Amino acid sequence: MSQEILPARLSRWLFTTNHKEIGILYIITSLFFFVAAGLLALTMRSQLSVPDNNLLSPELYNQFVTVHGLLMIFWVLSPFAFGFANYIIPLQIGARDLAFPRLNAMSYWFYLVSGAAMIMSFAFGGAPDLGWTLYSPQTSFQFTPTIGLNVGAAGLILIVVSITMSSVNFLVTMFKMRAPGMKLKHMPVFPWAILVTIFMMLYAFPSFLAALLLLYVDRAFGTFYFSSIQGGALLWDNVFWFFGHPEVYIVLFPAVGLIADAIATYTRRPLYGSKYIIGSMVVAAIISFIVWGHHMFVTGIGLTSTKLYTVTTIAVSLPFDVMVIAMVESLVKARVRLKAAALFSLGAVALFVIGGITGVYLASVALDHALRGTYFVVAHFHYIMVGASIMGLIGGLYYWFPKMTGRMYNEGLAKIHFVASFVGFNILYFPMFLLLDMPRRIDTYAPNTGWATLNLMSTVGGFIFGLAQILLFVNLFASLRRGSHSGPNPWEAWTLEWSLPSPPPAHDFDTIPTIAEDGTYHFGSSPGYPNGSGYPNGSKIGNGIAYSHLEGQSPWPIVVAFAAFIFFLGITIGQPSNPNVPVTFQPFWPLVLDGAILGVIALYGYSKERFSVHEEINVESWPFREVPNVKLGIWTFLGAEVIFFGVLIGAYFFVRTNSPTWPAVGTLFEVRSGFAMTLVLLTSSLTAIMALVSAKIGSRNGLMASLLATFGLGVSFLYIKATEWISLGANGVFSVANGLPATSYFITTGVHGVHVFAGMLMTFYLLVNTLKGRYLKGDYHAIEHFGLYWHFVDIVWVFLFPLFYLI
Amino acid sequence: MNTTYLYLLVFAILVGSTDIEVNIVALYPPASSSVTMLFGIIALSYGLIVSILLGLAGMKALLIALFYQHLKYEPRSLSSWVLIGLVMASLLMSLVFIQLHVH
Repeated sequence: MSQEILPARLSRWLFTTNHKEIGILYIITSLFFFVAAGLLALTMRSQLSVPDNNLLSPELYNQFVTVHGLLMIFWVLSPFAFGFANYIIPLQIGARDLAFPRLNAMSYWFYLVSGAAMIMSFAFGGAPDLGWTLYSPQTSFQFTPTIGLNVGAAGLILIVVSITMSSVNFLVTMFKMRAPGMKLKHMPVFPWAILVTIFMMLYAFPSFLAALLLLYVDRAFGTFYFSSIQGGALLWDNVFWFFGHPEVYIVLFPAVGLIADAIATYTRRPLYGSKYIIGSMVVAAIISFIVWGHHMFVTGIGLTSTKLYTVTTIAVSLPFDVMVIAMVESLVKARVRLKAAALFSLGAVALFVIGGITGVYLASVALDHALRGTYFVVAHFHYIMVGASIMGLIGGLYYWFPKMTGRMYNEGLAKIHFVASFVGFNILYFPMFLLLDMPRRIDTYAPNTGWATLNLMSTVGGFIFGLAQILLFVNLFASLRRGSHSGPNPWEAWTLEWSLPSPPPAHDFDTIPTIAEDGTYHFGSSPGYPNGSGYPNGSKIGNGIAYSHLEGQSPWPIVVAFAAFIFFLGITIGQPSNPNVPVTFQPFWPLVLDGAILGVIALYGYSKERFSVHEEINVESWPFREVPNVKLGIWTFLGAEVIFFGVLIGAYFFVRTNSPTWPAVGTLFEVRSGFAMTLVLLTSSLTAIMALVSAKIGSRNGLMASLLATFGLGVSFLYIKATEWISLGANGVFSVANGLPATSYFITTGVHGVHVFAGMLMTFYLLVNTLKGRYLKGDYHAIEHFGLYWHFVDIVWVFLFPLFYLI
Repeated sequence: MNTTYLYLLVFAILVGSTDIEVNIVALYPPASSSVTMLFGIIALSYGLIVSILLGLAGMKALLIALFYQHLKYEPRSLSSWVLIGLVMASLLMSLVFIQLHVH
C-alpha cells in the first residue's frame, strides 16, 4: 500500500510506529472517551437529580450506566495511563522505542476500533444494559435478546486483544531494552508501576477473554455455560472477578507510580521509601489474584471461602497503607512546589485514603451484606477510580505536557481547574456514602425515600466536576500555540526523559545514556551533525528505527485492526433478535468475508514488509539477557494463553463437578478417536522439532519435509476432529446446545482446533518461504518461534485428551 | 546425547505414556464396587485413576516443554516466567474447587 496517496500529515498519524506519536494518539483518544463517558454520567446524574424524573427511560438509563462504566474502565483509565507509558517509558529507561513498534501501533488501532464498537452498540437495538460486570444469566440471549450486547462484547474482545499485545510489548521492552547500567532498581516508580500493571494485565485479561468467549457462544450458539444451574451466575462471577479485582489495581497503579514520581519532583528530594512503594505494589498485585471472592459474599459461597477471602482482602489493604505512608512521609518538612501536577497528585492521595478505608469496610462480611449494591459502594470505587486514578492521571498530563509539546500551560488556570475538580468531586461523591440505603443502578426513586437532597447535591457536584474539565481542554489547547517555551526540564526533575529537548527528537536519544551504579546518567560525546540529531541525514540509528517520522511508518497495523473490526462486526450484527429461536447464530456473511479477506491481505502485507527492528547490544536486560526479544515476547504471550485455556478447562471442571451425572467414559466419544488425534499431534511436535534441527544444520530438504509433515499432521488432526464432530452431531442427540457435556466438549476442543488451524497457517507461510531458501543455518529463528507455539497447542491437547475422553 | 536421538526418545516416552493412559481406563471400578483390585493387592479407586491420568498428562506436558520447547536449556528466569502462568491458572481452579466443595 502506498503511503504517498495520503497527505503526509495524515499518513504520519495513521501509519506511525513511533512510540511518542502513538502515546499522543492514546492520550487524545482516551480523553475523547473520557468526555463521552462523562456526558453519559452527567445525563444519569440529571435523571437522578429529582425524584420520579423521566428524563431517561429505564432502558436507556441502564444502557448509559453500563456503557459509562465500561468506557471509563476499559477505554479511559488504562489507555490514558498507557498513553503516558508509551510516550515516557522508553525515554525513562533509555530506549529508542518499544521492542515491537508495529505491534504497538496495532495495539492502538485495536483500541480505537474496539471503542468504536462499544459506542456503536447503541445503534443495534440498545447497548449493553446490565452494568459493567455483565452479570449472568441476565446476559443470556433469553433475557437480553439485543444485538447491541453482542456488538459491545465484540468491542470488549477487541480491546482485550489490544491489551494483550501491549502487555507483551511493554514487558519485552522494559526487561530487554534498558540503557546500559539501568538495572531494575534504577527505574523510577512510574515504570515500575507500569511493569507491575502489565504483569497483572497479562494474567487477568485472558480470564476475561475466556469469559467473554463463553458468553458469546452461549448467546450465539445457544450453549449453556451461564444459563445452566451447574454453571450459571457463580461460574461467571468466578471467571469475571478473577479478572475484575486485579483490574481495579490495573487502573490504579499507573497513577500511583506517577504520583510518587511527581511528589519526588515537586519536593525536590528522593521519595521516602520508594523501594517499599515498589515492593508494596508487587505484593498487592500478587494478593489481588486471590481476593476476588469478596465480590461474591452475597452469593452464598460458603463459610470457608468467605473466611479465606475476608483475610486476603484485609491483607491486600496493607501494602496500600505502606504506599500512602511513604508518600505522606515524603511530604514531611518538605517545601512542596504547589504546581498543578503536585496539587492533583496530593489531591489524589487524599481521595485515595478515603476510597481505600471505605473499601476495607466491604471486606467485612456483615457490612458487605448490608452495603452490597448500594450507593456506598458506588462512592467507594469512584473515590478510587476517579479520585485516585483520574486525578492522578490529570496530574500526569500537566506534569508531562511541557515535555510532550515544548510549551508551558497556564499555571493559574490549571490551579483553578484543580480546585473546581476537587471540590466538585467531593460534592459529587461524598453524599453517595450517606446514600447507603439507596440501591445502585435504579433509574429513579420515590419522593418519600429521603434521597432527594443528597442526590441533588451529587448532581450539582457532577456538573461542577464536569464543567471544570473544560478548563483543562481550553488550557492545554491554547497552550499548544501560545504557551511559553518550556525548555528541556522546567520542573528540575531527575528522571531521564527530562534530559532531552522538549519535545524530544523522533529518535529520542542522540547517544544512548549510560547509568552509573549510583543511578546518575551520562551521555557519551555526540558527533554533532548540523541537523542537530547527532546523526547525518538519512542514516539509521541504533535498533534500526529511523529518526525521520516518515521512515518509521507502516500502513499494515491500522489495516489489520480495521479488518478485525469488520470481521467481528460481521459475526455479531447478523444475529436475529428473536428469543424464541434456540440457536440463532446467523452472521452477516458479507462483512465476515470482507473482514477475513482483508485480514489475510493485511497480515500478508505485514509479514512481507521490510521493517527490521534490531536488538541493541550492551543494553541492560537482566533477567532475560540470553533470551532474544521475539522469543521472550512469544513466551509471554504463551503465558497469557495458559490462563486462557486454564479458565476454559476450569469452566469445564466447574460445570462437570456441579453436575449430578455425566456420560461415562466411552459412551459419547470413541477413545480410539481421541487416541488417534493424540498420536497425530505428538508426532507433529516431533516433526516440528525436526524442522528446527534441519534448519539449524542447513538442510533445506529436511526442513521442507519436516514442515510438510507438520502441516499434513495438522490437517489429519482437524480431519479426525471434524469427522468426530459430524458423527456426534449426525443423530442430533449430541449437538453444541444439547447439554453441558456437549457444550463444554464442542467449545473447548473447538477453541483448541482454531489454534491448530492458526498453526497450520503459520506452517504454510513457513513452507512458502522455505521454498525461497529461507530459515537455513543462522536464520532459523522463525522455525523455533513457530515451534514454541505449536508445542504449546500440543500440550493443551495432552490435557484435553484425558479430560474429555478418559475421565 | 545426539539431539535427534533425544527427541526420538522423548517421543517414544510420550507415545508410551499415551498408551498407558488409554489402557488404564480399563481399570475403572465396575458399577458394583468402588475399587478395582490390581494383581489382588493394589486397590485402584476412580479418584486414584483420575489422578494417575492427570499426572501422566502433566508429565507429558513437562517433557514437551522441557525438551521440545527447550525450557531445560533456557535461563531459569524464563522457566520461572512460564511457571507463573501455571501457578495463576492452578490458583483459579483451586479456589473455585474450595468454593464448590463447601457450596
